[in-house]
Amino acid sequence: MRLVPASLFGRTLLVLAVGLLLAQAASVVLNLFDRGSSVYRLAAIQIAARIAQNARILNRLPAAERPKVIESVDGRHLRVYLSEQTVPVSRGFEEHDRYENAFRELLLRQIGVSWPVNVEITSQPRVPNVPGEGSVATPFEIWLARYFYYLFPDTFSIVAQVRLEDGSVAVFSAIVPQEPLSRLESLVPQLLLLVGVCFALAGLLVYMTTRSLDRLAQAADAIGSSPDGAPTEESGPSEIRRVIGAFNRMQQRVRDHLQERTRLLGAISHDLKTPITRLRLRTEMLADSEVGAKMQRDLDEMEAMVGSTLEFFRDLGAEPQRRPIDVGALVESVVEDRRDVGQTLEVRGAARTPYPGHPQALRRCLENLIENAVRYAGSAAIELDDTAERLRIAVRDQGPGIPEAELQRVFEPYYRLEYSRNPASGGVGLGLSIARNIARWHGGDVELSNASGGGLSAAIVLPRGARVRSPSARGSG
Amino acid sequence: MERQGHILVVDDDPGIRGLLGEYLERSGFRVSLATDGREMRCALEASRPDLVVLDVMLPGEDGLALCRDLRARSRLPVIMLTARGDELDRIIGLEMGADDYLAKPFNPRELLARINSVLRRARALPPEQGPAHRVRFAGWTLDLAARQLIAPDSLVVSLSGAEFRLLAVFVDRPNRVLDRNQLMDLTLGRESSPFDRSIDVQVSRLRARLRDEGREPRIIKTVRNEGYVLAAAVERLD
Repeated sequence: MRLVPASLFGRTLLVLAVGLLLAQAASVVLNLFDRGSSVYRLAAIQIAARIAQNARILNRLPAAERPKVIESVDGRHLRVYLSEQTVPVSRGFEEHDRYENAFRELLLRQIGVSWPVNVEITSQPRVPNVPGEGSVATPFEIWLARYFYYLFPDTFSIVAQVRLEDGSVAVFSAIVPQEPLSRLESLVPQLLLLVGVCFALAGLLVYMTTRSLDRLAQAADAIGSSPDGAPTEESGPSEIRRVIGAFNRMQQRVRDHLQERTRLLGAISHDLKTPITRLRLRTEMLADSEVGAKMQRDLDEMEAMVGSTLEFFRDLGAEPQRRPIDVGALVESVVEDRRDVGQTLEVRGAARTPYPGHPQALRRCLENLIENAVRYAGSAAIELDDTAERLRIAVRDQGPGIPEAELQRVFEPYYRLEYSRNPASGGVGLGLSIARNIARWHGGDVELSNASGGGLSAAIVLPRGARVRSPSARGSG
Repeated sequence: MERQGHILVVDDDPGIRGLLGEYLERSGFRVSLATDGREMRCALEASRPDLVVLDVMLPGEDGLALCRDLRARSRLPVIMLTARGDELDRIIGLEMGADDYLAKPFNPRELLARINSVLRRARALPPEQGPAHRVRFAGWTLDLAARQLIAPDSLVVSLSGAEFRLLAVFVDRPNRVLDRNQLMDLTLGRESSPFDRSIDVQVSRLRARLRDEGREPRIIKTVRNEGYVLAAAVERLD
């Protein structure tokens, strides 16, 4: 499965979505940092005030009464503990030094007296040196605490040791309350709503752009298969409109060019008819009948070329004028005509229902395929195969077949196989092209294949129940 | 060439006009030539030809218009020549009232055969009635111009050449008993071929096409020891 979507729509949407999410995430983080530092500053002032107050109280009290006060003050967030000596506390990280100094300043100002104060911000989530807080943080916890302390505010504590006037040391360990991220969950719906709105708007924009491109692609496709299609409507953003405009002009030029070529070939073929007619008359009146007969054969060939060329360029018309055809009668009438001139043809199978089509054109299509089979193999078998999806009329012969590499090329106009180039046996090279045009006009196709037992199978495949006519693909394939 | 006649050739190409004139004269016809519609009318006033060979593409008034005009005034047989050999042109030509139609480049012998055939038909038919182009019989429609048989349920039923010729003979002579020799003669026209099967085979094929098989055919009936008859009224549609 590919990670990057194939369509422009998908890609644009993906980039926009990722960008939006990143921007949102960055703004949330910045916001939290900002909020976090304010919270920490306030918390620090509060903690310093409490420590200073307690330190002053402890300092005033005689040693015997101090435990009572400690007991009342000692709690989850502020541990208090009296020691003879300064307790060794892990140094924490270097970047904490600045905050330690700041906190020390703050604390000293609160106490108001210049007692020796030692402040450490430790990354130990709990303070191991304080009795009752025995566990030691794992290296992973320490690593997390160093880089993601904003996610785990509980993971560090401020240890302030104040040397009282009597020389004893009051050890305060304050756990900074988990404040900054405690309301992250409440941010999620807000975030999702924001992202959703942006995403929908971005999607709409991208859809509007890509839809124009989509229509352009369809138009280009339509030109490929039939240059006679209506021009694409010029709408959408101005850039797209310009491209569509350029496309429409190109389509017009392609169409003009094709029409000109068709007209030219048609005109040449058409104009040849008059001189050929004259030649026929002259030949008919020649005294030498042997020369005359040969000339008539040449004229027959010329006439066939002109006729096929005009046939090839003839359009069946833009609108399908279909009539229900008795397929069996169609095949049999073609076969009968050929049997009447001594050709051997066999018919197998039957059509189930009439086929709606162009009677003369389909007859021509079938005749061309049979003509080829008879020319190269001497005989043919016509197989009818009819299903709900398609009607298939296959012309099978026992001839030499066609090399696989040539199977598509033989549909090209005027293309002839080497062995059929002999004008006595070969046609003009338009029979299959014309047959394919006719089949495609009906939404089907002509398929060629070499049969496994030798010989060629040329099949007209016509879709059944297809209401839409595929555009005529004249001159292609 | 037992029946000769007078042919008027109308074609704007001087080569074809001259050569065609010469060819037809050699074949025993008397020939007049005309370049366009104006000359054709002059020629028609000067003499009474038996048949006009008319080119479709003429300068000024075209052949189709001339043909319609001719048909409106007389039963003079017309064979149209055209360089546009497509089906539509042929149908239009025949609907304009032409008796036959030939695409250029035509084989001169084919033209000769058709001239003879049209002349023969013109002499045989009542003078005011030309050939039909579409006829209806027993619910079926035979389009003689498009060579199509259309069933009562409007299905197009293709006919082989031999079947078409046989049916054309029958619809031309409804309710007349035709024996095998007559049928053979009438169907072996210009398009005859040496492999044509016997009339009986053709009739049975035609019956199959007309869905008229079985014990008692109703459209083409067998008359014992005599031949066949088209037992239906034939209605001309144009």
